[in-house]
Amino acid sequence: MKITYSELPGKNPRFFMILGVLASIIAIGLGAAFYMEHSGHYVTGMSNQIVWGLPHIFAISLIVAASGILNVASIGTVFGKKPYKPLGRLSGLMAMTMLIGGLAILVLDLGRPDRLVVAMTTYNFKSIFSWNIYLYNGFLLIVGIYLWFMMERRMTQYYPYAGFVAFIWRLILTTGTGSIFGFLVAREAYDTAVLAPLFVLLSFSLGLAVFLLYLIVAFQSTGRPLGDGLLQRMKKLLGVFVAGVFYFVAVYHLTNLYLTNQHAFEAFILLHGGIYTVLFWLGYVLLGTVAPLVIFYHPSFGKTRNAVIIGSALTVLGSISLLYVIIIGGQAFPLEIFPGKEVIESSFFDGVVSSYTPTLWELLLGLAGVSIALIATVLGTRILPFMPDTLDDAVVNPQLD
Amino acid sequence: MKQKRIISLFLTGLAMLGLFLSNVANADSELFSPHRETPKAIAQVSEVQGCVEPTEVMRRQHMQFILHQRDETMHQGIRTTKHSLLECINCHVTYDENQQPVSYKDERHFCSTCHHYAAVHIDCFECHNSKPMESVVKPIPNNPDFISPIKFDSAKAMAEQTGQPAGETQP
Amino acid sequence: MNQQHSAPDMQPESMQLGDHARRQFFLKVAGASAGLALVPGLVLQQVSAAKTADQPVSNKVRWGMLIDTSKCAQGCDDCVKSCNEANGLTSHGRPASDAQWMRKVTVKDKQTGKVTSLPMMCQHCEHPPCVDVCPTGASFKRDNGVVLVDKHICIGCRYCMMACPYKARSFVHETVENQKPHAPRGKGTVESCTFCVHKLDQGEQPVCAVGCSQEAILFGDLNDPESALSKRLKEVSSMQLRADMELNPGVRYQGL
Repeated sequence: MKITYSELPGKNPRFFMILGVLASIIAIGLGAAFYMEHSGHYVTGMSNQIVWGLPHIFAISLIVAASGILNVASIGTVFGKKPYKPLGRLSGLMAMTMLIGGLAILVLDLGRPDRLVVAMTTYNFKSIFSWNIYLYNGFLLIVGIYLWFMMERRMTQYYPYAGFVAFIWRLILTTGTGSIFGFLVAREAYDTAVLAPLFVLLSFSLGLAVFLLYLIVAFQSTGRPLGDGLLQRMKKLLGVFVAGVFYFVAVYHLTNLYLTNQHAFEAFILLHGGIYTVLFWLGYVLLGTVAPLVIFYHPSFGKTRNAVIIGSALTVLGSISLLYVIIIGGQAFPLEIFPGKEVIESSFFDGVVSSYTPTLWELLLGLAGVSIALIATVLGTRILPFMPDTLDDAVVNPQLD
Repeated sequence: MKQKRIISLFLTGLAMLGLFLSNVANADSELFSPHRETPKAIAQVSEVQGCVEPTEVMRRQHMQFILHQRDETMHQGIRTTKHSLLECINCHVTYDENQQPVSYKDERHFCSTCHHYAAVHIDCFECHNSKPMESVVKPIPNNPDFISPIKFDSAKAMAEQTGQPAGETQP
Repeated sequence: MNQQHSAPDMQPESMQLGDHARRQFFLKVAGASAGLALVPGLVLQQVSAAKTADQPVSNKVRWGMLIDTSKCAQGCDDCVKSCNEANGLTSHGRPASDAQWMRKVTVKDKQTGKVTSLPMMCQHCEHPPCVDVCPTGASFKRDNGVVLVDKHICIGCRYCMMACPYKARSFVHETVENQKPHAPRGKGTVESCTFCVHKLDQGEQPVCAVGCSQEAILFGDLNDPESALSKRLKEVSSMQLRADMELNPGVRYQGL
């Protein structure tokens, strides 16, 4: 049976309600961003010690998820797995919208967001940040072309090539995102190449989990058939990705545990770092890694749709916890400016663990970014036929290679 | 059907952008010409000396001068005074009723009079002080540099500056 | 020696009217500079290295500093005070987000218990990580080794603050008003010690070196073997902070 696609039905009260809610969250978040810019960043929890805070967690989560979501399309196009092919359009759309949402947060948190045009025209090519601006813009362009080729009948013959370029690009993009931290020579938490592949694997798991959640909600709320066979197949893949992330996290920490000069940092994250230790063990390891794996591979519960939903949600939670530990925890741990010495007095918080309490404003800005991604997705599926009419197992044949 | 609608939307957007850009490019066109009553700075320049370039040049090109000087100062440490923002600020001073120099937030500030009217944001004063150095000009009533906003006759000053009798419009 | 430079410049070529006021201003400046020149220490000792205001900086010079921690007194913060005063850094009573270009730090050796007090600021690295990471190139190093932020193109992303090994940079968290004319600073951009670049450009020393009552800060040209700084560095043993990173900072510490 041939797969057909259609737009969301319009003039549906629930559709407008969703739009209204998302638009309100965005409006409130924009207000929060304006307030932060107008007063200055002192009204946030961020300081000269913790320079990147909650908005950056939201932004990087969305950007990492964006590249990961495109995997679903790549698995169909590049790796030729037929059951994934009907998901390609939605995957490409969400990859673009999630990236836009994440970038919106980053831009609105800048000290001078009014100088966006400077960021887009003045480059220092030694900066990984500059490369990322190209990678992000290029991603939007390439995925746009990929979608066009996928959806335009006359271009269909070229779309595997576009899919291949998009796949390579997204790997480079997430490598770039991880390298934003990997290239920071000064800090104990960063300055390691392993952060790049860690971020790539994290994008695989976070992206697929977000995609699964959106797919289930969107199909159930629009009454489109969604086969459990397909979900089970994707769930198994998600399990592999979750384990893959854990492998890189383990390599990261075991390497540090071997290096004497990193012992203090490891003791901070793993033993007595307060919120960061809790988030690492409880948030990332237990709820974000062990629990989804147990749920996914449980012989009976694992076969249910609830297992997919709960497991995916826990994966999202775990990924955000991990990013929080890496990004905020990495900054909270004091810089070692005077090796072999302890700081007994400083007016600038040298040698002490910096504290960070996110404020409501930062949370509102972050939620606005998520809402921008969601509203763009919903509107996209309303305007153009991104969503398959049915993903029933009889149509998709999830057992196919 | 749908595609046509999107394309027409896109074209409309392009047309509007084009219209906007052509207006910007024709800033000298009638829309922006001095037929209307443009605001006049209260302290155009000091009563006793001219600006570093002719007024017409400064009107159009002050930003180029300042930008050029800005990069030279920032990167090469060249701190000559002819085109430095600091000297603009030190010379073009407007005083308020209390004989204190006004900041750019006051519409009477030399830069703000025009920028406010033209709705062009001045980024300079996000970081630079818009008031003169205290050591340079003091608001002393008999100081030849001090022009009271109340006493100042803008028509007379303009006439002196352009060399034309008062009352005539500018070319 | 170092002030007369401005004379030709102050006289606008296209002066149309009288120049009474400017002349008055001139006399004041000239008088002040004559006074300055008489005060020893305020004028750089290395005449060859000092530039006048109309000359571009040169890479023949590399400004640096030696801080003698044995002279630096615990509890004294004269250098910090002069820095704050000269650059218009005011506290809002929020230490976590207030800008600090210079700070006093007291450290104790973990093994020997030796206590040392020292000032910390931008180390003006030869290979500054902040310059590498800045996306717009706002963070840059001048030919003469001074590391600065071009606030005209700084977008406030704070990546340089993540990259700096010395925690030398501050983000301006609040609206700034009544800035010092020579130290423009504004909300939403990143800043740090400039080696008092406005003074350097006119051939004068940074205010911290002048303001230190213990004479613990020696400022000069690292490239000039005849400068007092180079001579002292050749004699005494000094260290770079985080020398392992091979950033070759321009600021050296003695007795740490």
